[in-house]
Amino acid sequence: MNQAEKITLSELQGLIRDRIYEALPGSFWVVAEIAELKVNYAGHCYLELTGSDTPGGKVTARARATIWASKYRSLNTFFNASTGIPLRAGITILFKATVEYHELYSLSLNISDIDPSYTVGAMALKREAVIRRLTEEGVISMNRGMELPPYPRHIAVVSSSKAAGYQDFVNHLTLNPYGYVFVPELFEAVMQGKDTDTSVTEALNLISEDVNRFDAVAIIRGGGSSTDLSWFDSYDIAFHITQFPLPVLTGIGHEKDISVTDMVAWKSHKTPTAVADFLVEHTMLSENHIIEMAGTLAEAVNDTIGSAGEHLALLQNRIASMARLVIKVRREQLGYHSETLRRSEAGALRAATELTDRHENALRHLDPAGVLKRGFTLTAKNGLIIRSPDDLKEGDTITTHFERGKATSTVIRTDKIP
Amino acid sequence: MAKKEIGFNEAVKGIEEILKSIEEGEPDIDKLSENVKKAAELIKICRKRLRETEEKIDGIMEDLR
Repeated sequence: MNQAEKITLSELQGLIRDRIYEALPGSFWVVAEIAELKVNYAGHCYLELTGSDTPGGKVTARARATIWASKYRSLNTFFNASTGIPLRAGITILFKATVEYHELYSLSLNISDIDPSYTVGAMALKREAVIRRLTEEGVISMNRGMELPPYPRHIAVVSSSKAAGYQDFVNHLTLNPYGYVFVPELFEAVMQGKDTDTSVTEALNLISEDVNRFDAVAIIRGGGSSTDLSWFDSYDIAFHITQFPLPVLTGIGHEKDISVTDMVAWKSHKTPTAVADFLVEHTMLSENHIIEMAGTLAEAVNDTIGSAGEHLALLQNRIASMARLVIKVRREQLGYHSETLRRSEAGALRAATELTDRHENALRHLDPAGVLKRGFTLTAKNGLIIRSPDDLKEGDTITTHFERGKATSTVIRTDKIP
Repeated sequence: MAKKEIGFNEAVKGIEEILKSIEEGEPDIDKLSENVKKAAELIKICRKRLRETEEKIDGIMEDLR
C-alpha cells in the first residue's frame, strides 16, 4: 500500500459523510420502534430505534436518532395530545428524518416531524389484537363472575407507594365518613414504563399466593389525561386479571379512554379515589340492605305474631260458643225425650188397662158358674167330669150339676155321635 | 323425666281438633267440659308462647339498635 495515500480517520469519516449526503439527500418518512429514549438536561432527545420484518418480530435493523430540544418540545406535546401517550420506548412511530453523519458519533437520524396518527393506528391494532385474543380464549369477562363480599375489608393494593393517588386512595378508604374499617395492603409495583407488565403480574402472583387473606384487589395509579395508559393494554396483565380468584378493581387514571386492563376488571373507575369511594359506598349499600331486611323481618314477625294471636282468639270464641251450643242442643233433646217418655207412658198404661179388661172379660166367660147360669150343665161320675159317652156304661150312676143343685141318674143306654 | 313442652303449632292443632270434634262429631256431654278445659289449657299455652316470643323478639330487635 502506498503510504502517500494514507488518510486520517476524520478524513475517512468526512468522505463517508460526503458520500452519504450525496446519496441520501433530503428527508425520508421512516417507520421504526423506539427501543430507548433519553432527554438530556438541555432538552435534546436521544433515541435508539429498531426495526423488524414482522411486527413484534426479531430486530433486523438498528439506528440512533435525535430530536433537538427546539423540535422535541412541540413534537412531544403534539404527539401526546394526539395519541394520549408521550414519546417513549416501546411504541412504533412514523417520522420524517434526514440522515446525518458525524465524524465523532457516526450515523444518526435527525427527526424533524412525527405523524402521531400512525402510532394511534398501530396501538389500536395491537390493542385490538389483545382484546381479540382474550375473547377467543373465552376469558375476557371471567373476573366479572367473581363476587365482591358485602363488606370487603382486606384490600390488596397493586400500586407504587410513590404513585400519585395511592395515598389519596388509602385516605379515602380509611378515613371514610361512616367509620367502616378497611385494611389496605400495598403490593409494590411499577405503574408505568416497560417494566409495568412484569411488575404488575408479579404483584398479582404474590397476592394469589395468599388469596384467602383478601376480599378484593385494587390496581391503582394516579395521573389524569396525560398519563400513558397503553402500558395497561398488556395481554399478560389482562390475562392475569381474568384468571384472578378475587374481584379486581382498577383506577389507573384516565379521563377519556379505558385500557384493556380496565376492560377485563371486575369494575373500573377513572381514579384511585373513585375506587376507594366505590368500596365505601358498596359497604354502605350492604349495610342499608341489612337494615332494610331487619325492618322487613320485624314487620313480618309482628304480622305473624299478630295473626297467630287473632287465630287463637277466634278459636277460643268458637270453642266457647260451640260448647254452649252443644249444651243447649242437648238440653232441648232432653226435653223432647222426657215429653216422649211421658206420652209413651200414658199410652202404655191405657193399653195395659184395655188388655186387662179384655182378659177379665174372657175370664168371666170361662167361669163354670157363669156357664151353668146360662143353662149349660156338668155331668160327673164319682166326682170326675164326664166329657164323652165312652167314659160311661149301662148301670153307672151319674150326677148332673145345675146352677142351683144337682140330680142323680142311672145310665140306661149310651149312644155316640158317629 | 320432664314432660316435653308442647309447641305452638301442636297446641293450635289440638285446639282445632277439639273444635272439630265438637262441631262435627256427636259430642259427648260427659266429655264436653273435659274437652273445653283441654282447649282452654292449650289456648293458655299458645298465649304464653306468643308472649314469650314477642318478648324475645323485642329483646333481639333492641340489641340491633
